Amino acid sequence: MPSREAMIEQELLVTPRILTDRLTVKYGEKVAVKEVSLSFYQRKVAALIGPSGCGKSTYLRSLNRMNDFILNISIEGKVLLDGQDIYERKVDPVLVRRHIGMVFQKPNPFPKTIFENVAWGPKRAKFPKKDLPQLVEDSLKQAALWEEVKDRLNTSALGLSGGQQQRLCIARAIAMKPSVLLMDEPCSALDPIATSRIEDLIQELKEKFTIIMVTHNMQQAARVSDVTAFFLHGNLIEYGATKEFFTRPQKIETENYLTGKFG
Amino acid sequence: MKHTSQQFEDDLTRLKDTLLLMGGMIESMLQETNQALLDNDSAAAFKIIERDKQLDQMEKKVDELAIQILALRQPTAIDLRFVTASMKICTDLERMGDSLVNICERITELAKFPPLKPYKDLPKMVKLTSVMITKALDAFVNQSLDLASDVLKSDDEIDELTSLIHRELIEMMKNDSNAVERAIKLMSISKYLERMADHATNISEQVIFMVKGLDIRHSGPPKSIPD
Repeated sequence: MPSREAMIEQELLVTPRILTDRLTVKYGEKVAVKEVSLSFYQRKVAALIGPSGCGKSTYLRSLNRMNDFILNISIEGKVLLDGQDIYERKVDPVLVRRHIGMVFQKPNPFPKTIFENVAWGPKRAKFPKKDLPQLVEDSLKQAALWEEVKDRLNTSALGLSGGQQQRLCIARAIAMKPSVLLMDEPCSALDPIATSRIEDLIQELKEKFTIIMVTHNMQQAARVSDVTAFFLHGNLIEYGATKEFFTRPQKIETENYLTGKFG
Repeated sequence: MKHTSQQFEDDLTRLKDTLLLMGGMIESMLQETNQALLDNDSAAAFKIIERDKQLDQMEKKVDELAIQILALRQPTAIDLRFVTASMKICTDLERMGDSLVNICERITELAKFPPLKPYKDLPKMVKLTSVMITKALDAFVNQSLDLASDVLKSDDEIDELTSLIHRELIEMMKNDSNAVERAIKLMSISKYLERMADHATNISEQVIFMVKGLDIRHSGPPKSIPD
């Protein structure tokens, strides 16, 4: 008989942490995402790829209600986080974003100290004040930034390099102890060395979080993700294990996109 | 359908063309080798041996092109399979060249003796090997699973011909000790031809991998390609 821990472990791997069920997103009359059903699991990194305007970023932003800020947008279908529909009326979108953190394309630290950047969210969420120093340290350690900034926590975050700023944003996101991390092209503004560090970091973070990332860099998707989804004109074309996806995709549309073909 | 990058398209075409050039050279060298064997012509055999150096250079060229594409383009999907298959196919073609050199060396040694008997099965083997090579290369160019599959089926026929030739030569050696030296050389020629056919089989397996992403190597007798 397997132990209780082993059973919970197994359950986590087979139950989707977050899923969309026929999710459709429209900007006015324009359909940006068409009936996309996808499941994302614990300890897996999912990459969303596709040409510009294919709907992948709109889809990603729908997963933590970032699109709520856009006028004229409408959502159909469901987004379930641990079985709970995040678009239900009673659900507070702020709470949703606490559980589903996001890291953006361009590092966007607040013009505050390094410490304040990480502690900002937990403070607003009324985490006990005495716990904050430890929480900041843990978050910076998890984001592989602690060693570089531990002696200057009270200096401005804007003095950090681009790569360090992006890791700070990751630390800021994970300080809220989310279960899912969304990343919208997290390395596109970084140099190759900083990119490698973030990619390694993603591998470490996936032990704790379900990670869903949008990337235009297909080699990055191939290196970092466990599963890949290909979007085209708002449709989900193919979703599968990354290893297979990049060596023998099943759909001709995927093949053409991956190999850069046209006409 | 073409690649968006014309330069990438050109690089892949150059890689394919260089391989086909190698293949074409092997086909013509094999025909000339057959003629040299029938004519007992060591001068012709020496000329063929010389041509192998060109094949060696082409092998290096293919590898260089393939490595360049891998480094600069990071190909994926069918492009990745095409480039990796090309590297393997070029090794097979180079080895075919080596086998032809070995056959020609045996021909130069045999030229010192009168022919053991009129050759019948060896030319048959040359013909079948040649057809297999041509089909394997056509399968590569046209990405044809049918042609690749044909080649795989022919391999058994080559194996049977080899055993037949060996049995006959063993009989000759038993009956006449003067035949031993020539018979041994003819045996190795048939063995080299069989090896060339094996390389044609390898190429076909690579074509199947390239087209379908399916690795059928070392998986028993290939009767048909799974869907």
